[in-house]
Amino acid sequence: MTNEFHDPEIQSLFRQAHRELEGEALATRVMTRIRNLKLLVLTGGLAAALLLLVGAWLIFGVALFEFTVLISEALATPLFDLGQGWLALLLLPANTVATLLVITFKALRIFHKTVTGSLPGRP
Amino acid sequence: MQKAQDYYPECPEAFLVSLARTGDRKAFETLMLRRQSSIRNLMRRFCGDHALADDLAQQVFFKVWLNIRTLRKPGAFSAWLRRLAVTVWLKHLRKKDALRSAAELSGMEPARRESSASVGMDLDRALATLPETERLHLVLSYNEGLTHSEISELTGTPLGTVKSHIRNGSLRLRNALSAYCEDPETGP
Repeated sequence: MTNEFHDPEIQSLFRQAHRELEGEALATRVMTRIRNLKLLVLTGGLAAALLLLVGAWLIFGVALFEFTVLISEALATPLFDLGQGWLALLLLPANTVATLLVITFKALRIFHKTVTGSLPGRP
Repeated sequence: MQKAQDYYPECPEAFLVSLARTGDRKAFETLMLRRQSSIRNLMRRFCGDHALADDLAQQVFFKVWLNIRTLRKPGAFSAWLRRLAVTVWLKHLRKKDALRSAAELSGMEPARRESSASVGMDLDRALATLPETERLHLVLSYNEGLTHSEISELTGTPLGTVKSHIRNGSLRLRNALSAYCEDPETGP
Protein backbone atom coordinates (compact mmCIF):
# COMPACT_ATOMS: atom_id res chain seq x y z
CA MET A 1 0.00 0.00 0.00
CA THR A 2 1.53 3.25 -1.09
CA ASN A 3 -0.94 5.72 0.47
CA GLU A 4 -0.96 4.17 3.95
CA PHE A 5 -0.10 6.45 6.83
CA HIS A 6 3.06 5.22 8.49
CA ASP A 7 5.22 7.14 10.95
CA PRO A 8 8.83 5.92 10.72
CA GLU A 9 9.69 7.28 14.19
CA ILE A 10 6.88 5.38 15.86
CA GLN A 11 7.86 2.32 13.85
CA SER A 12 11.37 2.71 15.23
CA LEU A 13 10.02 2.93 18.80
CA PHE A 14 8.04 -0.26 18.33
CA ARG A 15 11.18 -1.96 17.04
CA GLN A 16 13.16 -0.78 20.07
CA ALA A 17 10.43 -1.89 22.45
CA HIS A 18 10.51 -5.44 21.09
CA ARG A 19 12.46 -7.68 23.47
CA GLU A 20 13.40 -11.32 23.06
CA LEU A 21 11.85 -12.99 26.10
CA GLU A 22 12.77 -16.26 27.78
CA GLY A 23 9.92 -18.67 27.24
CA GLU A 24 10.74 -21.70 29.39
CA ALA A 25 8.42 -20.72 32.25
CA LEU A 26 5.52 -19.92 29.93
CA ALA A 27 6.01 -23.15 27.98
CA THR A 28 6.05 -25.15 31.21
CA ARG A 29 2.82 -23.51 32.37
CA VAL A 30 1.07 -24.18 29.06
CA MET A 31 2.28 -27.80 28.92
CA THR A 32 1.11 -28.36 32.52
CA ARG A 33 -2.29 -26.95 31.58
CA ILE A 34 -2.45 -29.29 28.58
CA ARG A 35 -1.52 -32.28 30.76
CA ASN A 36 -4.15 -31.29 33.33
CA LEU A 37 -6.75 -31.02 30.60
CA LYS A 38 -5.89 -34.50 29.32
CA LEU A 39 -6.15 -35.85 32.85
CA LEU A 40 -9.47 -34.09 33.35
CA VAL A 41 -10.85 -35.49 30.10
CA LEU A 42 -9.68 -39.01 31.05
CA THR A 43 -11.13 -38.78 34.55
CA GLY A 44 -14.35 -37.31 33.22
CA GLY A 45 -14.64 -40.07 30.62
CA LEU A 46 -14.08 -42.77 33.22
CA ALA A 47 -16.58 -41.21 35.60
CA ALA A 48 -19.16 -40.92 32.82
CA ALA A 49 -18.61 -44.56 31.78
CA LEU A 50 -18.97 -45.70 35.39
CA LEU A 51 -22.11 -43.64 35.83
CA LEU A 52 -23.55 -45.09 32.62
CA LEU A 53 -22.76 -48.61 33.79
CA VAL A 54 -24.38 -48.07 37.20
CA GLY A 55 -27.37 -46.42 35.55
CA ALA A 56 -27.76 -49.29 33.09
CA TRP A 57 -27.53 -51.79 35.93
CA LEU A 58 -30.18 -49.94 37.93
CA ILE A 59 -32.51 -49.84 34.95
CA PHE A 60 -31.89 -53.24 33.33
CA GLY A 61 -30.01 -55.15 36.05
CA VAL A 62 -32.98 -56.81 37.79
CA ALA A 63 -34.71 -57.68 34.51
CA LEU A 64 -31.47 -59.17 33.14
CA PHE A 65 -30.96 -61.21 36.30
CA GLU A 66 -34.53 -62.54 36.22
CA PHE A 67 -34.20 -63.42 32.54
CA THR A 68 -30.96 -65.35 33.27
CA VAL A 69 -32.65 -67.29 36.09
CA LEU A 70 -35.61 -68.08 33.82
CA ILE A 71 -33.36 -69.41 31.06
CA SER A 72 -31.34 -71.50 33.56
CA GLU A 73 -34.51 -73.01 34.97
CA ALA A 74 -35.88 -73.73 31.49
CA LEU A 75 -32.68 -75.45 30.42
CA ALA A 76 -32.58 -77.56 33.59
CA THR A 77 -36.15 -78.84 33.15
CA PRO A 78 -36.17 -82.72 33.08
CA LEU A 79 -37.29 -84.25 29.79
CA PHE A 80 -38.82 -87.42 31.36
CA ASP A 81 -40.25 -87.86 34.83
CA LEU A 82 -38.07 -90.59 36.37
CA GLY A 83 -39.29 -90.10 39.94
CA GLN A 84 -36.97 -89.70 42.96
CA GLY A 85 -34.98 -92.96 42.75
CA TRP A 86 -31.27 -93.64 42.08
CA LEU A 87 -31.93 -93.92 38.30
CA ALA A 88 -33.32 -90.38 38.25
CA LEU A 89 -30.20 -89.11 40.05
CA LEU A 90 -27.88 -91.01 37.71
CA LEU A 91 -29.55 -89.72 34.56
CA LEU A 92 -30.10 -86.18 35.89
CA PRO A 93 -27.28 -84.56 33.83
CA ALA A 94 -28.55 -86.14 30.61
CA ASN A 95 -32.26 -85.77 31.28
CA THR A 96 -32.60 -82.01 30.64
CA VAL A 97 -33.67 -79.63 27.90
CA ALA A 98 -30.07 -78.35 27.71
CA THR A 99 -28.81 -81.86 26.93
CA LEU A 100 -31.42 -82.18 24.21
CA LEU A 101 -30.29 -78.87 22.70
CA VAL A 102 -26.62 -79.89 22.79
CA ILE A 103 -27.36 -83.26 21.20
CA THR A 104 -29.48 -81.59 18.49
CA PHE A 105 -26.71 -79.08 17.77
CA LYS A 106 -24.05 -81.80 17.55
CA ALA A 107 -26.27 -83.92 15.29
CA LEU A 108 -26.86 -80.99 12.96
CA ARG A 109 -23.14 -80.36 12.72
CA ILE A 110 -22.42 -83.98 11.92
CA PHE A 111 -25.20 -83.99 9.32
CA HIS A 112 -23.85 -80.81 7.76
CA LYS A 113 -20.35 -82.31 7.64
CA THR A 114 -21.66 -85.46 6.00
CA VAL A 115 -23.56 -83.51 3.34
CA THR A 116 -21.08 -80.73 2.54
CA GLY A 117 -17.78 -82.26 3.66
CA SER A 118 -16.94 -79.42 6.05
CA LEU A 119 -18.13 -78.10 9.38
CA PRO A 120 -20.29 -74.94 9.36
CA GLY A 121 -18.27 -71.79 9.96
CA ARG A 122 -15.00 -73.40 8.84
CA PRO A 123 -13.43 -73.19 5.38
CA MET B 1 21.76 -42.33 20.23
CA GLN B 2 19.83 -39.12 19.61
CA LYS B 3 16.04 -39.07 19.46
CA ALA B 4 14.18 -37.51 16.53
CA GLN B 5 12.80 -34.95 18.98
CA ASP B 6 16.31 -33.62 19.62
CA TYR B 7 16.29 -32.23 16.08
CA TYR B 8 13.02 -30.36 16.51
CA PRO B 9 14.67 -26.99 17.29
CA GLU B 10 16.32 -27.10 13.86
CA CYS B 11 13.17 -28.15 11.97
CA PRO B 12 11.21 -25.76 9.73
CA GLU B 13 8.11 -24.31 11.33
CA ALA B 14 5.66 -25.88 8.85
CA PHE B 15 7.06 -29.30 9.70
CA LEU B 16 6.64 -28.69 13.43
CA VAL B 17 3.08 -27.51 12.83
CA SER B 18 2.33 -30.72 10.92
CA LEU B 19 3.73 -32.78 13.79
CA ALA B 20 1.83 -30.77 16.39
CA ARG B 21 -1.37 -31.39 14.42
CA THR B 22 -0.87 -35.12 14.93
CA GLY B 23 -0.67 -34.55 18.69
CA ASP B 24 3.12 -34.39 19.08
CA ARG B 25 3.51 -32.38 22.28
CA LYS B 26 7.27 -31.93 21.95
CA ALA B 27 6.82 -30.39 18.49
CA PHE B 28 4.16 -28.09 19.89
CA GLU B 29 6.43 -27.08 22.77
CA THR B 30 9.25 -26.26 20.33
CA LEU B 31 6.82 -24.24 18.24
CA MET B 32 5.65 -22.38 21.32
CA LEU B 33 9.22 -21.59 22.41
CA ARG B 34 9.86 -20.11 18.98
CA ARG B 35 6.75 -17.97 18.91
CA GLN B 36 6.17 -17.01 22.54
CA SER B 37 8.35 -13.90 22.44
CA SER B 38 6.49 -12.28 19.55
CA ILE B 39 3.08 -13.12 21.02
CA ARG B 40 4.04 -11.82 24.47
CA ASN B 41 5.43 -8.62 22.95
CA LEU B 42 2.21 -8.20 20.96
CA MET B 43 0.13 -8.72 24.10
CA ARG B 44 2.31 -6.29 26.04
CA ARG B 45 1.64 -3.63 23.43
CA PHE B 46 -2.07 -4.41 23.57
CA CYS B 47 -2.51 -4.28 27.33
CA GLY B 48 0.61 -2.64 28.75
CA ASP B 49 0.69 -5.06 31.68
CA HIS B 50 3.43 -7.69 31.52
CA ALA B 51 1.77 -10.18 33.86
CA LEU B 52 -1.55 -9.91 32.07
CA ALA B 53 0.21 -10.13 28.71
CA ASP B 54 1.90 -13.37 29.75
CA ASP B 55 -1.40 -14.75 31.00
CA LEU B 56 -3.07 -13.90 27.70
CA ALA B 57 -0.17 -15.36 25.73
CA GLN B 58 -0.61 -18.55 27.76
CA GLN B 59 -4.29 -18.59 26.77
CA VAL B 60 -3.33 -18.07 23.14
CA PHE B 61 -1.00 -21.08 23.11
CA PHE B 62 -3.53 -23.21 24.96
CA LYS B 63 -6.05 -22.35 22.25
CA VAL B 64 -3.44 -23.15 19.62
CA TRP B 65 -3.07 -26.65 21.08
CA LEU B 66 -6.83 -27.16 21.20
CA ASN B 67 -7.44 -25.94 17.65
CA ILE B 68 -4.28 -26.78 15.72
CA ARG B 69 -6.00 -29.73 14.03
CA THR B 70 -8.33 -27.28 12.31
CA LEU B 71 -5.40 -25.51 10.65
CA ARG B 72 -5.28 -26.98 7.15
CA LYS B 73 -2.20 -25.22 5.78
CA PRO B 74 0.83 -25.48 8.09
CA GLY B 75 2.42 -22.58 6.16
CA ALA B 76 -0.37 -20.28 7.32
CA PHE B 77 0.48 -20.84 10.99
CA SER B 78 1.90 -17.38 11.57
CA ALA B 79 -1.20 -15.52 10.37
CA TRP B 80 -3.45 -18.01 12.15
CA LEU B 81 -1.55 -17.52 15.42
CA ARG B 82 -1.85 -13.75 15.12
CA ARG B 83 -5.58 -14.08 14.47
CA LEU B 84 -5.94 -16.21 17.59
CA ALA B 85 -3.98 -13.68 19.63
CA VAL B 86 -6.24 -10.85 18.44
CA THR B 87 -9.32 -12.96 19.20
CA VAL B 88 -8.07 -13.68 22.73
CA TRP B 89 -7.37 -9.98 23.27
CA LEU B 90 -10.80 -8.91 21.98
CA LYS B 91 -12.48 -11.56 24.13
CA HIS B 92 -10.53 -10.30 27.12
CA LEU B 93 -11.67 -6.75 26.39
CA ARG B 94 -15.28 -7.83 26.46
CA LYS B 95 -14.97 -8.95 30.04
CA LYS B 96 -15.94 -6.40 32.67
CA ASP B 97 -12.73 -6.83 34.66
CA ALA B 98 -10.63 -6.17 31.63
CA LEU B 99 -12.52 -3.02 30.84
CA ARG B 100 -11.94 -1.85 34.40
CA SER B 101 -8.21 -2.53 34.26
CA ALA B 102 -7.99 -0.83 30.87
CA ALA B 103 -9.68 2.22 32.36
CA GLU B 104 -7.15 2.19 35.17
CA LEU B 105 -4.33 2.05 32.65
CA SER B 106 -5.89 4.84 30.62
CA GLY B 107 -5.69 7.07 33.64
CA MET B 108 -1.94 6.73 33.83
CA GLU B 109 0.29 9.61 32.86
CA PRO B 110 2.51 9.03 29.85
CA ALA B 111 6.03 8.54 31.16
CA ARG B 112 8.97 10.66 30.33
CA ARG B 113 12.04 9.15 28.82
CA GLU B 114 14.47 7.71 31.36
CA SER B 115 16.64 5.19 29.55
CA SER B 116 16.57 3.16 26.35
CA ALA B 117 15.51 0.10 28.37
CA SER B 118 12.28 1.80 29.35
CA VAL B 119 11.17 2.45 25.77
CA GLY B 120 8.84 -0.55 25.96
CA MET B 121 7.28 0.62 29.21
CA ASP B 122 6.85 4.18 27.96
CA LEU B 123 5.41 2.97 24.71
CA ASP B 124 2.97 0.74 26.58
CA ARG B 125 1.91 3.63 28.80
CA ALA B 126 1.43 5.89 25.83
CA LEU B 127 -0.55 3.18 24.04
CA ALA B 128 -2.73 2.76 27.13
CA THR B 129 -3.90 6.35 26.78
CA LEU B 130 -5.43 5.55 23.38
CA PRO B 131 -8.93 4.13 22.92
CA GLU B 132 -8.92 0.33 22.72
CA THR B 133 -9.76 -0.08 19.04
CA GLU B 134 -7.32 2.63 18.03
CA ARG B 135 -4.62 0.93 20.08
CA LEU B 136 -5.42 -2.45 18.52
CA HIS B 137 -5.15 -1.08 14.98
CA LEU B 138 -2.00 0.85 15.75
CA VAL B 139 -0.25 -2.16 17.31
CA LEU B 140 -1.23 -4.42 14.43
CA SER B 141 0.12 -1.85 12.01
CA TYR B 142 3.42 -0.98 13.71
CA ASN B 143 4.17 -4.07 15.74
CA GLU B 144 2.96 -6.71 13.28
CA GLY B 145 3.57 -4.80 10.07
CA LEU B 146 0.08 -5.50 8.72
CA THR B 147 -1.39 -3.38 5.95
CA HIS B 148 -4.55 -1.40 6.63
CA SER B 149 -6.68 -3.80 4.59
CA GLU B 150 -5.22 -6.78 6.46
CA ILE B 151 -6.08 -5.09 9.76
CA SER B 152 -9.56 -4.32 8.47
CA GLU B 153 -10.07 -7.97 7.54
CA LEU B 154 -8.58 -9.29 10.79
CA THR B 155 -10.57 -7.10 13.14
CA GLY B 156 -13.73 -6.73 11.06
CA THR B 157 -13.48 -2.93 11.12
CA PRO B 158 -14.22 -0.84 7.99
CA LEU B 159 -11.06 0.13 6.11
CA GLY B 160 -11.78 3.85 6.44
CA THR B 161 -12.04 3.52 10.22
CA VAL B 162 -8.76 1.62 10.37
CA LYS B 163 -7.04 4.31 8.33
CA SER B 164 -8.34 7.13 10.49
CA HIS B 165 -7.52 5.23 13.69
CA ILE B 166 -3.94 4.70 12.58
CA ARG B 167 -3.52 8.29 11.47
CA ASN B 168 -5.05 9.78 14.63
CA GLY B 169 -3.43 7.23 16.89
CA SER B 170 -0.01 7.84 15.38
CA LEU B 171 -0.37 11.56 15.98
CA ARG B 172 -1.49 11.04 19.57
CA LEU B 173 1.26 8.55 20.20
CA ARG B 174 3.79 10.90 18.71
CA ASN B 175 2.51 13.60 21.04
CA ALA B 176 2.71 11.33 24.07
CA LEU B 177 6.18 10.14 23.15
CA SER B 178 7.47 13.50 22.02
CA ALA B 179 10.62 13.03 24.10
CA TYR B 180 11.59 10.06 21.96
CA CYS B 181 10.37 11.31 18.63
CA GLU B 182 12.22 14.61 18.82
CA ASP B 183 15.47 12.98 19.88
CA PRO B 184 17.73 12.37 16.87
CA GLU B 185 19.42 9.41 18.61
CA THR B 186 16.26 7.32 18.77
CA GLY B 187 14.80 8.60 15.54
CA PRO B 188 15.05 6.56 12.34
